[in-house]
Amino acid sequence: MMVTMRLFSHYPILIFAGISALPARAQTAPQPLIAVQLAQLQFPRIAIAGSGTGSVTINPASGAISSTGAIHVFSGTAAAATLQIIGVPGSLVSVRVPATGQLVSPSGQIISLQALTSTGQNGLRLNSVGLAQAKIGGTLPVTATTSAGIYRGRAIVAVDYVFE
Amino acid sequence: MRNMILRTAVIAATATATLGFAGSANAASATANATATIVQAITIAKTSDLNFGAIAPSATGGNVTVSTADTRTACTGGQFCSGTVTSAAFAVAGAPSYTYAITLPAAAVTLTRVSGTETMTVASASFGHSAGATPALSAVGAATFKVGATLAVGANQVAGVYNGSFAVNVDYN
Repeated sequence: MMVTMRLFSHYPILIFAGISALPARAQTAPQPLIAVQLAQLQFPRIAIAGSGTGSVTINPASGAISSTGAIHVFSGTAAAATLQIIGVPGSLVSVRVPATGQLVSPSGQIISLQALTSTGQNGLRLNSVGLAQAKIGGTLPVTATTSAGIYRGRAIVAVDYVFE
Repeated sequence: MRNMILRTAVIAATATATLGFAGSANAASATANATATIVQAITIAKTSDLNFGAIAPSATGGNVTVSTADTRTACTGGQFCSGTVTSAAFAVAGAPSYTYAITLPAAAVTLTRVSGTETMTVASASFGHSAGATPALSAVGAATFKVGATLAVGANQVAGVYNGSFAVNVDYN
């Protein structure tokens, strides 16, 4: 009899503590955020003319391609990277990329990408079904000593909820 | 009795820990790939000068035309033309099979007498090249072409050697 009484007196206390913790946590722990690359950042084909330096830039917001210096920009495929973000509908997320990155050719030559920027750098609002796309662009600088070839690289993009 | 209390406490602790772990999925990372293709630069080098040969001027003046086949195709105005003529020749190097465009002088080119001030001109419109409508580099990235033009010789042009230079540019299409 004594044993039974003590058992009841402890159960309600512990269970209550467990339940009260659930909603409190749920408010600050939304569903996982997912980011998937839909398209890679592809610079246009370029040829370096003369002995000067130059660069080609892809604007992430507009997709516009601009160039400086003595380079020839070929027409053809070029695009900002596209990331699909999936998360809590209506929430604000930040999509951040490192400002610089490296592209490497098969022969080991390196081009340092500059001014990598994301359209979600300062916050991107997910729509009513929890989707948004972020674009990433940047600047490819070249010099007269940059060798011909196909250069590849990658950047880690960090996506976070922005608590409002 | 004590065992019972302990077990319940463990369950509660486990639930809290699981929620805490779920909270770390607030952040996501993705890999963005990037590619860039650098095409070999296109270069041009002169391999032969444009030479109009020897000309004995006339009282009226005239023209001398050198074709891209290295032949004198015109010697007008009663002039006497002799000697070997050559068209200008150029070697182009670049990315295999790419097409390119040739830019010939947009303004008249002046030839000035060595040790003198007398001049003759080659009109910009008279320049022509042998590379056809759509010049293209070969499968190994090479091409050559020649440039011909017409020299306008004045009436009783002062004798001497006349020199001048002009630029020919190439760029990818």
